[in-house]
Amino acid sequence: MKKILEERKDIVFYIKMFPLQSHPEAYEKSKSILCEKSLALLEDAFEKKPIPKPKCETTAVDESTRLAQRLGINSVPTLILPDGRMVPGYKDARTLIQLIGN
Amino acid sequence: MLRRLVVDCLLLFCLLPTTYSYGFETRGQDCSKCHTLNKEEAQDLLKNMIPEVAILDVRPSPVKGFWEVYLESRGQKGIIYVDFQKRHFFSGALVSLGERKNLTQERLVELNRVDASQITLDDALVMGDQKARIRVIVFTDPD
Repeated sequence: MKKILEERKDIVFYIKMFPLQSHPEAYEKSKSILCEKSLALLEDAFEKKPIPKPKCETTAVDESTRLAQRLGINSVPTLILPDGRMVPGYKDARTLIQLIGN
Repeated sequence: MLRRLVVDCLLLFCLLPTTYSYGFETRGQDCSKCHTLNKEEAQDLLKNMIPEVAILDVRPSPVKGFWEVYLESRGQKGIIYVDFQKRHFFSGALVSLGERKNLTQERLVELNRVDASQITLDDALVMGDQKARIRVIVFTDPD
């Protein structure tokens, strides 16, 4: 994503947390990340660094999980482009830029 | 008697194409017109093979002789291909050699379009310039 942002200043990513059930710790981590609204914390999580316990009560993770299920999302990451196309699974920067278009 | 023969012949001609057709185009006729498959029929064909199947759409597939059946099973949406004879189906990726494209995936992306404006972004982490023109929503897991 960073690579894309370097190349394309007209793109912004809105990241919603969708902890998979197959990742038992992901739910708590998602909460912590949303409590802090912290990209840095998300990056720490990607790098497998320990994530502190959530510092707030939030239903945002449950809500975004429900939404994801309703949309039929079952893998991460899944992208939703402005025209409504859903792109499941990891793609490299070049492929994504092509998909996003202009 | 002659009339009877004519009627019989006509009947025979009407029946032959459906009985002996294998879904290939012969002599320039468009065979997809001789074959039909509606949602109810597809549901009946597949209900014993695919659990809790619901048929969302049926249309001719890019490959001749097959229907493209868009369905949902236990909350998962997907595409399978059913042959015109209604005796086989397969699931998997249909790839165009000429275009080097996964046609199945492309079609699924098209069918699964959502209304991006309906997705609340209040709780989303923003990466990049909030004023940027193109908003891409990413659902991800921290692990």
